[in-house]
Amino acid sequence: MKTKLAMIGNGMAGIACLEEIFKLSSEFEVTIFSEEPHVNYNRILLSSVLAGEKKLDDIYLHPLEWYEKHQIDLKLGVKAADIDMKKKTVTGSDGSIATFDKLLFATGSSPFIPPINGVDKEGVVIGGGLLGLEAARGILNQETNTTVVHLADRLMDVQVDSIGGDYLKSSIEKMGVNVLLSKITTQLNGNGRVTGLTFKDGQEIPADFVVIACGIRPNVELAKTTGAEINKGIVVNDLMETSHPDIFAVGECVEHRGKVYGLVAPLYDQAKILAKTMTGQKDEGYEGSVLASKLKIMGIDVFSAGSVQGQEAEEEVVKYEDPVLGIYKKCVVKEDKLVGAVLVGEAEDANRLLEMIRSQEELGEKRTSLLFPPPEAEAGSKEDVMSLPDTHTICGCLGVTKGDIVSSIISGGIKTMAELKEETKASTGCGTCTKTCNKILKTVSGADFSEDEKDILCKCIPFEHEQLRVIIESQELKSVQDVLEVYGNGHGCPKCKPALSYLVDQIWCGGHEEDRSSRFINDRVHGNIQKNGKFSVIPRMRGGITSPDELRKIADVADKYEAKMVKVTGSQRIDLLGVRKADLPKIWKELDMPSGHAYAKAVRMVKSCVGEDFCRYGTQNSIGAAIELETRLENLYTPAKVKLGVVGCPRNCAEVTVKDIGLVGFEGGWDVVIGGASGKSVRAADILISVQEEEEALQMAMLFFQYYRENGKYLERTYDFVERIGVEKIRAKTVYASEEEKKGFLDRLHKSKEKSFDPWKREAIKPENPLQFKELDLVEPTDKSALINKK
Amino acid sequence: MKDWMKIVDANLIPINEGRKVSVNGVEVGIFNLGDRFLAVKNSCPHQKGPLSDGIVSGGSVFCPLHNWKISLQSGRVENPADQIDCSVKTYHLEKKGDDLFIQL
Repeated sequence: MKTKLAMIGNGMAGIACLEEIFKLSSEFEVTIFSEEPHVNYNRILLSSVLAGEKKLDDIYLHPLEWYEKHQIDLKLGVKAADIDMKKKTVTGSDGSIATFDKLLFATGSSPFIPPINGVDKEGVVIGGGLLGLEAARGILNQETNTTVVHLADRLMDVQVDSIGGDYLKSSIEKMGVNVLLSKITTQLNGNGRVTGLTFKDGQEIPADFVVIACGIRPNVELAKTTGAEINKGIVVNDLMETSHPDIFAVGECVEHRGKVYGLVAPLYDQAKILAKTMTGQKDEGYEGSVLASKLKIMGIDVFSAGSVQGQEAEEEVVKYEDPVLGIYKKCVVKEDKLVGAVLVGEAEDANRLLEMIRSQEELGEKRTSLLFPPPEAEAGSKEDVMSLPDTHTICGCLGVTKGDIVSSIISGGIKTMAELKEETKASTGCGTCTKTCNKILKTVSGADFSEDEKDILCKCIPFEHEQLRVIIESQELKSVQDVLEVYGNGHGCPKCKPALSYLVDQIWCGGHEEDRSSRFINDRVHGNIQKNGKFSVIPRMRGGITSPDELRKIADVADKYEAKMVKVTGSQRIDLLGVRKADLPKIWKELDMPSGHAYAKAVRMVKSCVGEDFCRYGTQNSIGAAIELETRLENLYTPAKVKLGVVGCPRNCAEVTVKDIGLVGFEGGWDVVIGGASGKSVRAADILISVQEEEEALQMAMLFFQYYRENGKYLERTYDFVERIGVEKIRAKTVYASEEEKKGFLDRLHKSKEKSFDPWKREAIKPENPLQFKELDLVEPTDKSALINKK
Repeated sequence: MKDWMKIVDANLIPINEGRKVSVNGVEVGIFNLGDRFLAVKNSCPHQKGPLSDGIVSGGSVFCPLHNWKISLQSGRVENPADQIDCSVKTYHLEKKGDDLFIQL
C-alpha cells in the first residue's frame, strides 16, 4: 500500500523535495495543489525575464511530462481551501477532495508589502535588497529612469556592512540608478494609476510605476488551521518535522531554529533532509545553512556569506579597500575560523571563501592569504579549481558537485557550456558559478573544449546586433563606412557590409548615406545573379493579380531579350530567367512594372486567394486586403526576405500559415499570424491577434512588421525571430503596447516608406552609375593615335 | 614590350567597386581601391563567377557566386583555405590623368 502524500504548493523547494523522495523510494502517491496555473518554474530567474533577457518558457524547470512520469495528480490552478486533520483530507477550491497519509506544506512566501496607503517612465523600486537591486537593473534595461528607495541607511543591509554599503551605493549610482536611503514610504500617490510616492519625512518623488521588493512573509494561513506550531513560519526541527507527526513543511514557509530562509540553496538543503526523513532514512538532520548571496548584476560584483558585521565578541576583522577601483573586501574570523566575508567590486574569490566558511577549517597559515589567494594558486587558477575535492559543491542552486560535473564531462563527451548545462543543470539557477563550471570544463575536456559562440555580427565588427543598433543611433553614424571605421576594422567583408547597410537604412528610416559598394550585386543592379553570371527579373504583381496587357508586355520582353526561361513562381508572379545585366534597364523600361524585389532582403509579395468576390466559401475580400498590404509595405527592406499572404477563409488556399506574416479571414474578422515557414524547416505561424476590421488587421500586421525591422538580426527570418523573442513578448511589445509606442512604430514605418522608392523606375531612366549596366567591349583600335606607348 | 591601351575614364568606377571591360575578347575586372586601380581576369577560378560584381573589401574581392576571396594585388585565392594555391591572372593597369590604361 503506497503512502498518500498531499503537497500544498508547487514551487522549487517542494518539487526539489519530491525529486529527492523519488530517488529514495517509489512508495509515494502524490497529489499537488498548485494555486498557480503554471508548472514549476525557476523563480530566481524572474528578474531576467523582467530584464528581457529570458522569456517565460525558458525558466520552466519541470515540464508536464515530469509530473506524468511520476504519476502525480497535479491540480493546476487549484488552491487548497480547507484541511480536515481528522478525516485527513484536503479540499481544493474546485471542490475536489484528496485524502492523505502525510501532508507537506511547501507554500513558500509572499512578498512583504509594507503598510503604505494606496497602491510608465519613472520607475521606483521600494526595497534595496538583493531582489530590489536586480529589479532596478531590469527596469533600467527597459530604458526607464530608475530610483531605489530603501528603509535602512545602506543597500543590502542584511548582507553588507556600512563601508561595503557605501561602495555598493556608488557603483549602483554609476550604473544610472538613483538611490535614496533611510526613507520610509508611507503613501503611493495617484488616482487609479500611481503618480508618485510620499516618504515619512514629507519628501515626495514622482513615479509611473512601483516595484515592491521588501522581503518575504511565509505563507502559513492554511497551516494554522491544522494545529501545527506556527511562529514566523511553520516551525520545524532538524529533521524538518513539524509539531504534528503527519505534517511536514519545506521551503520559504518554514522556520528552522528561528530563521526563515529566502534563498534557494538552503531550501534545497532542507528538501534533501526532508526526503530522508519521510522515507525513513533519518540521519544527522538539518543544522541550518550558512547564508551566502551574490548580487547578479552585470558589472557589479557583491558577495556576502555568514556573519558580516564583525562586531561580536572575539570576532576579528581583516579588511582591504581601494576606493578608486571601488573594491572592498572584508573577512570576519573567529577562533581561527572564517565565519563571514563581504566582497564588493571584485568577487572572483567568493567560492574559496565560502568553502572556508562552510568547512570551518582552522585557518592557521592560510590566514595570511585570506583576502588574496596565494600566488601559486593564482598562477594556475585552472588547477586551483581542480584541486577542490569531488564533494565540493560548485552549483549551490542545483546542488551539483565538482565530482558530478567532472564525471558527466568524461562520460558524456561534453565540449561546450551549453551541453554541460543540459546534462548537469549546473549554473542554470542563479548563474554565478558559470565561470567555475567553464574552468572545469576547459581543464577536463582539454583540446576538445569549444567556446559557446557569442552572437557577434562578424569578426570585422565584433558587436551583437542590439549593441550595433545602439552604437549607430547614439553616435549618429549614417554610413556603413563610418560604422566600420570607428567600431570595426575599417574595411569589412561581404558578411557585415550588407548587414550594416540594412541597419543604417532601418535606423535612419531611409535617411542614411547609401554606399552601394557595401551592397551585394543583387542590390546594386536590382536583379538576382544566377550561376552563369546572368540575372533574373520578377516584376511585382500585387496580390498575385495581373492583366492581359501586363502579360503581353512580359511576353514581348521575354522574346526580345532572349530570356532563357519564363517561370511561374511559388509567389504568384512570373520570373524571366537568364537575361543579361546590360539589358536590365531596358527591360524595366519596357515592362513598366514595379520591381518585385525578388533579389533583395525586402518585402517580396503578398500572396492571396480569390476571396469573397469569386469563391463560394470566401468570407472576406482577400484580394483587396492583399493589394492594400503589398502597396503599403512594398519597397521596404527587412532583416531577411518577408513573404506575406492573405486568405479569405480558414481553408487557407494561399498557405498563409506558413508565411512570415499572414491575414486569415473568417466570418466577422481576421486572424493576424506571424512567423510561419515552409523552407528548410516547416513552421506553422503563431496567431498575433484576432481583430474584426480589415484596417485593424493591416495595422497589426504593420506593427509586427516594423517591430521585426527594428529588432531582427540581419538574415534572421521571422520564424527564427518569433522563436527567439517569444510570441508573448512580441504581443506585449506590439499589439498590446501603449498607444504611444504603437504610434512610434507606425510613424517610423511611414517615415521609411516615404523615403522608399521603386529602384527599377528610378534607374530605368537614369542609372546611379552609367557604367554599371554597360558592357565595354574594346577591340584593338586601328587608329594608332588612341594607342599610347608608355615606353 | 606590349602596348598600353586606353580603356575607360577612371571617374566612372566608384570607390570599392569593380567594372567589367572586354579587351580584344578578354574579360577583365577593373577595381577602384580608392588609392589605386587594379585589374584581374574577370573569372573566378572556382566556377567562373564575374569578379567585377563582387564586394570589394580591404584589397580583396569576394566572388558574388560563392564568396571566394581573391587578392586583387596578387590574384591569389585567400579563402577557402584549402584553395589558396589557385589564382587568377592579374594585369598591369596605369592611371594617367582621368584615363585608365591596361597592358594585356
